Amino acid sequence: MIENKQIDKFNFQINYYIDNDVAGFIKYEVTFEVINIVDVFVYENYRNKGVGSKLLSYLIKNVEARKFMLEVNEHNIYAIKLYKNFGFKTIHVRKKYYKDGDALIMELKKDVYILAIESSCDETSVSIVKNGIVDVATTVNSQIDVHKKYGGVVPEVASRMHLENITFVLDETLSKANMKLEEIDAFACTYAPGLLGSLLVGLETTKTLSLIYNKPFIKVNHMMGHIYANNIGENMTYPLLALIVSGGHTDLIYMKDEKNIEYVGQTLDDAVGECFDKVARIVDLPYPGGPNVEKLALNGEDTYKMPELLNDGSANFSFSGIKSHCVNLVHNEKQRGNEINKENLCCSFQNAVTKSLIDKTMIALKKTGAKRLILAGGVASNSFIRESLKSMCENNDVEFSVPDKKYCTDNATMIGAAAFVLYKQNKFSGLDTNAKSHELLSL
Amino acid sequence: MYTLFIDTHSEVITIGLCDGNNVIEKTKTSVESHSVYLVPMLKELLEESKVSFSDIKNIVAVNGPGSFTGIRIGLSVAKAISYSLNKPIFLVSSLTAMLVSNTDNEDKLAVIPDNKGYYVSVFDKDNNVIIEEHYRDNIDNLMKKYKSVNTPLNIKAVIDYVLKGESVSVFSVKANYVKSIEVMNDRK
Repeated sequence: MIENKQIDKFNFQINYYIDNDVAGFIKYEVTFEVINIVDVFVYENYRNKGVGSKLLSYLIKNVEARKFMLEVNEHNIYAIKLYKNFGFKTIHVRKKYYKDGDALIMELKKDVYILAIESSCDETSVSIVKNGIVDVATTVNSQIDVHKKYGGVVPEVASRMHLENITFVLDETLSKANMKLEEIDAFACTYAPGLLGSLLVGLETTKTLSLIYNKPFIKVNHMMGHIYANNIGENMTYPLLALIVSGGHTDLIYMKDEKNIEYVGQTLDDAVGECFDKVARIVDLPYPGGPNVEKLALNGEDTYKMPELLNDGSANFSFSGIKSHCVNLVHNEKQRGNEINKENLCCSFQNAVTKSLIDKTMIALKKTGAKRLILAGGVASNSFIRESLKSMCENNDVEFSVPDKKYCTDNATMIGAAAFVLYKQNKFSGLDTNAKSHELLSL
Repeated sequence: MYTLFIDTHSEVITIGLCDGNNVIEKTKTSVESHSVYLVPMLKELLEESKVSFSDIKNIVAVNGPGSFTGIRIGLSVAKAISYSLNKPIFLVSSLTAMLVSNTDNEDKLAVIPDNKGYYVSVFDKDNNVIIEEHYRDNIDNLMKKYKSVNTPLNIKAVIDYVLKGESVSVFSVKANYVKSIEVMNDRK
């Protein structure tokens, strides 16, 4: 029989009984959600009967905690072996703590499963992310086919479809992960920036789940999600420079560590993704424009002269000039009755924009002294831009990383990865959290 | 066991719990977005009435017509509860909710105006449909013929009326926008 007794406000003792005798016990104290194992003891005549193992297993299974910590003499090899079997890892060695040797500080972290929802634009996505790094299961439902007809996202339609789709996407993710909502440790979602009506569907769903299961709710900034897409599979190392390129953003951000964000450069007008979509429209390519421009550019040559992009020594961008230039170019050629070579236009445009991204990123790298660059955002799925930045980094002895293409476009996995960073810092949000259409990055 | 009621179609949020006889309700006029108030109100309602989610047997949600965003906020919450607790969800039109709350012994008209026209519906005294809900530009003739209702929402009456009907699958819950926008017409 096993029994868990509370001794005082913070201290507990678990007793293991054999024939009404206490065969062994574990004493532990609780500080916040960390369990400090003070003592594990088995009486002499009950040793080698698996009593210690039963006690530990009871503690880990039944006591809610984020992590368990203990200290053990380096010579106590049987105990160390037992702890290792339960997944404890040595995180620190206290030299000469005991008369006869060092003390090992061991730790067992419980796996943290975060369920994340993303619905800021035209993709309904739900993901379960383990420890902020493993994509357990993700479902993305894209509305591209519907919005294609109108050359862009119609906000009211997007909101309507999110409401209709959200339960399917949630259900699909849970069944792919073979998990129940009861097993989730925290619920997260994108709350800004994005289309309000769309954001609200994901936000209300997430807050309700957090209330039902009495687990923390974590609000995540969408752009933070794009950055942390780089954490999926492998943790990022700091300090780093992040280049975020998407339909609404073109930002250069310096991160000294996980907790510090500093804007180094931003676009003064249009975002780079917006420009791609505009160029796609004027040469009659369907929505979404970006990927289609990239496809045509592949078979084109750089023949059209493009204007010089913002060259002011800063790390800021400006793309409205090249956008207008392309619009006028196509318009004028049409007036003259000349045919536009779409492939060449797309190629010339893409080259010019990519050059600006590279130039400005190099300025930002110099300014910050960063030796690591991460690329993020929807436009990071453009192969030409990925390759160009990669080779720039190789030539300048800078480490480069970019997420898999499926984690560049909108998805909930990246939201779960970012939420884990907030989870570790206990940055939880209230159930009165509202959606916001605009917001600067924050942690 | 309780029925949970959620209505967010107008600027007033109404939620309630009904155990067959008694109704515990909460209302709030939203000055910001419903998003700020609805889930916290739900938490308070459950705590104050000492009811837990597992005591909820079914959910009745108003699905429109009314504020598009308001309706979606209420339905998102209702769907999340229905899905995770695996409890049936019943939908009711905001016009129907207005009409069945009224117990006058005559034909009655419910009107919800928007910036261009009116959503209307007419029931007789026994809540049989006289005019199916629809959208129209002018309601002068209807106003002459029928008495328009402005009784406060009677949650118990609405729940009793709705539970006589069929529940819908949580996967097919839709808002009742009545008038569809051009893009959605194209989808058909």
